[in-house]
Amino acid sequence: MFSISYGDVNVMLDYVFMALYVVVLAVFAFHFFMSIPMGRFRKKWIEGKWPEHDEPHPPALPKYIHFQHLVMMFVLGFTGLAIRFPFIQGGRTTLRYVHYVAMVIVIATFIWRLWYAFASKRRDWRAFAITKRDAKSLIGVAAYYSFFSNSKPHTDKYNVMQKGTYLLFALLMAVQALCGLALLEFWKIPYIGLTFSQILLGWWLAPMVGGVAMAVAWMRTLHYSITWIFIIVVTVHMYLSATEDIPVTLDFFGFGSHDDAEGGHGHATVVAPAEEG
Amino acid sequence: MSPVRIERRVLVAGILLVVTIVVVALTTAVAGAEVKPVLTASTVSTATAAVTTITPSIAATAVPSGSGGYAMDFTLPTFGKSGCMVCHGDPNLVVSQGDATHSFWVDEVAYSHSAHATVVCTGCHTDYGYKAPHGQGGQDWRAVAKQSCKNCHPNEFRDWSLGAHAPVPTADKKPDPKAASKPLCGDCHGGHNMVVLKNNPAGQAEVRAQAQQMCGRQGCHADYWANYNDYYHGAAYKTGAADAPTCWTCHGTHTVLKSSDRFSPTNAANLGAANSCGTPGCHTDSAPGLAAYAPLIHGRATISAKNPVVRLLDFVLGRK
Ligand code: HEM
Ligand code: HEM
Repeated sequence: MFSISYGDVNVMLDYVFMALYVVVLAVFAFHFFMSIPMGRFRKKWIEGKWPEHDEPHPPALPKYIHFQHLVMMFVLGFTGLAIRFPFIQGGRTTLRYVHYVAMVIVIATFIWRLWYAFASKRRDWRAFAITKRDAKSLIGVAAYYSFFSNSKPHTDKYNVMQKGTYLLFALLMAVQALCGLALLEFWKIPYIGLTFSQILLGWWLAPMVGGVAMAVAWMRTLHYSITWIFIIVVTVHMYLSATEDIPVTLDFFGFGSHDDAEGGHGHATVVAPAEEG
Repeated sequence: MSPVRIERRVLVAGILLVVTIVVVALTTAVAGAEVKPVLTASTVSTATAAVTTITPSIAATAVPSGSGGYAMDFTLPTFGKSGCMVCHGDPNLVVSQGDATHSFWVDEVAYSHSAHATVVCTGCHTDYGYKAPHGQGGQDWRAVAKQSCKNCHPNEFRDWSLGAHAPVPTADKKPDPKAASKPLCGDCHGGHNMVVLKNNPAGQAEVRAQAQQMCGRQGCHADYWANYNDYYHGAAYKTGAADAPTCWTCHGTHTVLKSSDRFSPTNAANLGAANSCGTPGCHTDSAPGLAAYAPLIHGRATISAKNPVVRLLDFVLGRK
């Protein structure tokens, strides 16, 4: 049995995450400001010396999958928050159904990306694997982002913190999908005659917290917390992909090109070549 | 390399377009079916705006009818509406008392669409007979009309009389001192424009949307209306969520009991029961465990106020 009050936990999550988000935005402002005296701002935005890249262009398919992921994540985040905080007049049922449709698409997209990473001809899971060399570079990379040093160790296509972030995305996605499905407490799966909630929670959490309904309530809290973690990490991801390497980000979304042969990107001496995102 | 790349871009753009169309089509198709009831309800309530939400206020003091300013003495054909409507069908029929002007007009069009369209005036105004001018002597004609329902709806009247809204004599057998503030049938259900509920989903939706006018108005439970703002019940109900509960979904309808009453559906001991949180369509398999959520339903604001983050913010901003 849980002794913490469920009500307190819910309200606490709302405020802690909102406060945390404000802090994150403040850190961005500070980070952006710091890039001016450190010379990074001038180097990139004025002299146009963006990082160099090992391969000319990311292939089209992962770009497309990323785009589909991104759109669905925004839809899910928006509709999800509108389910919890009904700030839209009417239409909660609509929002729910949009969430349901998007959740099916996002799970399919996730599986698609896993297939691409592990089973396709151009499998790229190695790009995300953290090697010993990566692990050793962690302090250097962290020092670069926090302005303790002005050069970033280059080990691979993605640096170690990027790899960590992308692996975290995958992990969160899996957990979010599972606890999200566990919220489907009314829809009985045909032929099986049980709900996802019963299948996913009935045998472990339900006996601990006093019933499937209460187990679903705790899963809601988890689903909601992960939503905030996504919001925060994705915001950082967006900020860094825009500030660290805007040419590759634009290229990643189909605009422009970061190809040295075409564009006038000089070689950054301070910033070691590395692809950002 | 580069011609290939251009083709890819076009391909990607094409796929994007198709996916977007599919997503939009799917969501509209799936959701469209679901929105309809909401839309119908609101459309109907705008269409019949004149008919809705004119719930009489129990705060209004008994108005002695007739001002005594006119002299008439004739018999009315009260076993129909025509007699009464000679005067009450006139929108200008007003009575001035002090600086207030009360309308005694009955909107016949609205009445003829109400649940009681075929009931004669004296069916509810049972203390009104035959003579005009009437009402002198200061009898509480409103109270009579508001509970004359029992003549046709005895079961509902009995249910009401068992609940907290019925007056209870004091221990020494004096009348309930709070009787004047307790609602009679008409205080919740309204009067001349009562909507048809039977086989009428639009009417049901309309009544379902009237929690504030019925229960949460000033003088009644305005405080509980205000603090009914947890995530999925109160806040959702107030923004018109079709599946969010209204006051009586949890508190019961005619036999409304205090939550401290052992038999109240909102009594802590009953929250897990089939007629409380476990009502079909709500939380199946609710079990007693779900009671852990209950404090949020009317208590989110209180819980928020004592949250450390909020208190820190209050302190920093110098609030309170
Ligand atoms: C990955 C697959 C996902 C599944 C299967 C899923 C499923 C669900 C379900 C079934 C609900 C309950 C809806 C209802 O009450 O009718 C829900 C709510 C919600 N979802 Fe998701 N979802 C997924 C992904 C996401 C993502 C990625 C986000 C945010 C980035 C998100 C944010 C939310 C939020 C905030 C709620 C409301 C939680 C609450 O009620 O307090 N979901 N989700
Ligand atoms: C507007 C928002 C976003 C921008 C501008 C953006 C930008 C980028 C960029 C430039 C990359 C580097 C790709 C490369 O060169 O290989 C990247 C990779 C990645 N992003 Fe995002 N991103 C956004 C939103 C998201 C969201 C919402 C998620 C997931 C929740 C996400 C997850 C990932 C992951 C997992 C990768 C690495 C694997 C892959 O190629 O898919 N991004 N992003």
